Amino acid sequence: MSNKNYFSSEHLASHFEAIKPQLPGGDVKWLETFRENCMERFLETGIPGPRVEEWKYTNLGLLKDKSFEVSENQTDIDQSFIDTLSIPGLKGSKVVFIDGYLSKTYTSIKKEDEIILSSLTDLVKNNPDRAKALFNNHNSASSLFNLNLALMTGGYVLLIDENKKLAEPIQIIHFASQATKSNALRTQNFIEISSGGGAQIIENFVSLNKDFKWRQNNTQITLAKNASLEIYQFQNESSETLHMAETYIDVEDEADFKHFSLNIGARISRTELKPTLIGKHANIELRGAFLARNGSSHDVFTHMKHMVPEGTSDQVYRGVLDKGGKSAFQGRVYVAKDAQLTNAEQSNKNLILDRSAEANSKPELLIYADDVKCAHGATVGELDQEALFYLKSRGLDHKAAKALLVEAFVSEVFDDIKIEPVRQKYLTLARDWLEQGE
Amino acid sequence: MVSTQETRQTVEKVGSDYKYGFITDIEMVKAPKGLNEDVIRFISAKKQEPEWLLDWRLKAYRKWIKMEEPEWALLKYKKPDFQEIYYYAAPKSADDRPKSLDEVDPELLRTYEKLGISLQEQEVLAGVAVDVVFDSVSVATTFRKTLKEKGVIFCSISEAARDYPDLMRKYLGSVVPAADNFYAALNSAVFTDGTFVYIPKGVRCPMELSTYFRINEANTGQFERTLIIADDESYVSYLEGCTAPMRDENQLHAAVVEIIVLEEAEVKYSTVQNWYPGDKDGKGGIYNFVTKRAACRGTNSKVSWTQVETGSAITWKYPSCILQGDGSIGEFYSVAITNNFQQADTGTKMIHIGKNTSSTIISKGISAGKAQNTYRGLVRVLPNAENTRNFTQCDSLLIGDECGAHTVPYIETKNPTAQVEHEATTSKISEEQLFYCLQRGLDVEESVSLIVNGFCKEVMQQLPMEFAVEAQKLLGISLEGSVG
Repeated sequence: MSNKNYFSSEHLASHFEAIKPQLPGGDVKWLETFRENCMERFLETGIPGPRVEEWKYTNLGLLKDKSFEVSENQTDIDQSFIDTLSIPGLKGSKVVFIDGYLSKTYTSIKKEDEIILSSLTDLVKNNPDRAKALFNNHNSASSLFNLNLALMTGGYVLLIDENKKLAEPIQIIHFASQATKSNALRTQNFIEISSGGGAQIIENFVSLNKDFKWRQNNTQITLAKNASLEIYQFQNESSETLHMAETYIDVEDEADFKHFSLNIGARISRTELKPTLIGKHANIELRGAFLARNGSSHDVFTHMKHMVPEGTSDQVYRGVLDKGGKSAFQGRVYVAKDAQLTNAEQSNKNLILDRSAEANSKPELLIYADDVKCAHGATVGELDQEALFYLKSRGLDHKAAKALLVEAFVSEVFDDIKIEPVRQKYLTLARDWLEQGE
Repeated sequence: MVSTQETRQTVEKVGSDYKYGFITDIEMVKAPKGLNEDVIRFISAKKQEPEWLLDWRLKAYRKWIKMEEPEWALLKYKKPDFQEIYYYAAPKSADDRPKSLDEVDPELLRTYEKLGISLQEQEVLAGVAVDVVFDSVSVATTFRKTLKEKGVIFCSISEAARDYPDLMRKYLGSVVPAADNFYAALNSAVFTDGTFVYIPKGVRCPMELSTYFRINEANTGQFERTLIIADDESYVSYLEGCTAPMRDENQLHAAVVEIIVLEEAEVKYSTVQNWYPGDKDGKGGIYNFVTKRAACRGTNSKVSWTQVETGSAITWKYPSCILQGDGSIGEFYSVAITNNFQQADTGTKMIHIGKNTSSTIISKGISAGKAQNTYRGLVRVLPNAENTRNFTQCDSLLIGDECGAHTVPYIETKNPTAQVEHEATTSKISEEQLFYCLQRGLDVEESVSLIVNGFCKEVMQQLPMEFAVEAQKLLGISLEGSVG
């Protein structure tokens, strides 16, 4: 703990010791050892400070001297409320987390999904060998990823067999209530799709807390040959929430991974995506929009690792920064020495609507192979005054014209979404956000 | 690929061909090895410096000993042992400094002739005023009389400390503070010489000013400091060139350049950096850690950095522009070529503070052999910088499959009226281009030279005539026949 670039994290060590027995699987010896090892790895460095290059734009100083509590929430929530968090028109399975714990009451898993979709705590109980294999697969992850593994209270596991493609997207709802004293919500998910398999997942993060809460939701994904996975993440947490979602993805030959994210709420949100192309002809698309105002800050960090030849990756991120909003996009493309014929694209555009807003962009290319096509572009600017004038000259008032232009700017990211209700949901959320600003 | 094989051979051949790798035998006066307050006092005494400057140095040193070497750059090297370096080495004859060129040690003059800058010839023909810094001290400044008539001050920084203390006190460290960063602090403590330029109000400097730096002694570091002040409505174009002998050990070069640009003034600063890059196995070579920064303090002031970086084992250099004055302009044009085991982490910083400020960044990185070449640049727009404009373009060319090219831009904007654009591409020399040149009768070497020169054209055009020729030759030497 001598590294001055990291915040002292002793308080998290004592938090861990205090809640260890009551964590799910606290009576399972191997799991306890696993959690202890992860905690140890976390403590090797601790919570990264702003002098750590990757955390340059997001200061986690607010975690420095917080005390944390974790307990399972017993309060009842109206079923109709849960329904409002779901995307209408989708019939697939639904997994609901309340305050970091999987809620059996609201979770509904379709019969055909029962074998493949389960709760992490159930898997530990019913199939410890499989669970062990999943846990041990975890690679040299970040310190905060290890912290989450040490302290996780639940998660979902999706294991798909060869050539099986899910007919309906799965919905995951992460809800944080005001009712509980618990202020650290940590879920850990695993997805493994065997060759030829495919799935779509929609994750929705909503919270109503008026006090500080720290949410971590991390996912580890393996896509075998020819597998495909699409993940949609909406984040609309309360303004007192620190939201962190970190995802590692290993992608094998010809597999296809798509990720769409929309960040609207939270005081600080951090979305980390770390795909590794380990098989040839893999294809990765990352799309995202972040909208910030009123002291809210979004930080999107991607680290695309091309380890083998002939992979393609494409990243498109759009940011809209209104009064008091702040954002950072840090996109890193790494092309290893052997990854010839890689094609990697990256684009980040930001729109600043107010003088109290701030946009930061750091698109990085680290290239060690010579026969590659890699490009990135980043822009920051205000609304095109000429376009605004044009719309107004056609009879739109200022507000409507501005909203239309901002919507067009953001929706570029959502155009590729194939599931219509999801695309609609993105647009509605973005529209609502824009209207609130007026 | 056959062509790749050829590339390697050519590149290897070139690597052993550092034409400036000779050593000059001159009797030297040195300070004791290592660094402590006494060495700084020794340097200051040798330079007959005023008391305030010694205090300034000591303050920098005391801060420096508490600082840590930065590690964020994409560079791998053995950190220099700061106690194994001579911080002061001067040709003995400099103890009684020559009053005119006739008095300069003939051995020294021959060195510069080998370098291709014959001082006498320059004086007569080229119309370029040259200040020559040999290891640690300035040995000759040409054209002084002509400049003096215009009121231009062009002298070594030690002279300036004695003769123009007011200007020095006012501006020294005002752009790069003594403890700005690890290497700048080291330089502030031990800088041994450098160039001082003052262009008075309304004067357009009648000729290009130029400094030639050379490291000669073994185990010496070169720590020069340049201070350029362009008063209201003045203009100056300043050139800087560097070479060093071939030695097996790494030598340290930590320079600081400060430029102050006042109302409506313009400074154009061009560098051709050709320090010894080390041999083809990565042995030896100069560690080049340089802090260059210009402050555009007046309205509509302008500063333009142009750099051609072909030498050094390690380059760590970010010429920056602080655009304080409304309407001020910053430009950065760079070609960085790395070959064999060279590593370069270079780029710029554009800090927009004033209204209507604009900046342009054009960076071309070429990486061959086992080299690593990184562009690292910051564009920051502060809340009051209305209507700022930035355009950045970074292109990288990879030659061979063992090198790396990296782009790390930082874009930080706090004003909605700013327009900031960044583009970057990475590619290799296309087979089609090469084939086209070959079938027109050019050989591989000529073709690649042509293509690389085309790749760098936007930057080369910015160089003053005298330098453009030299730079183009350097490009040729470094990369002839390189095909990816």
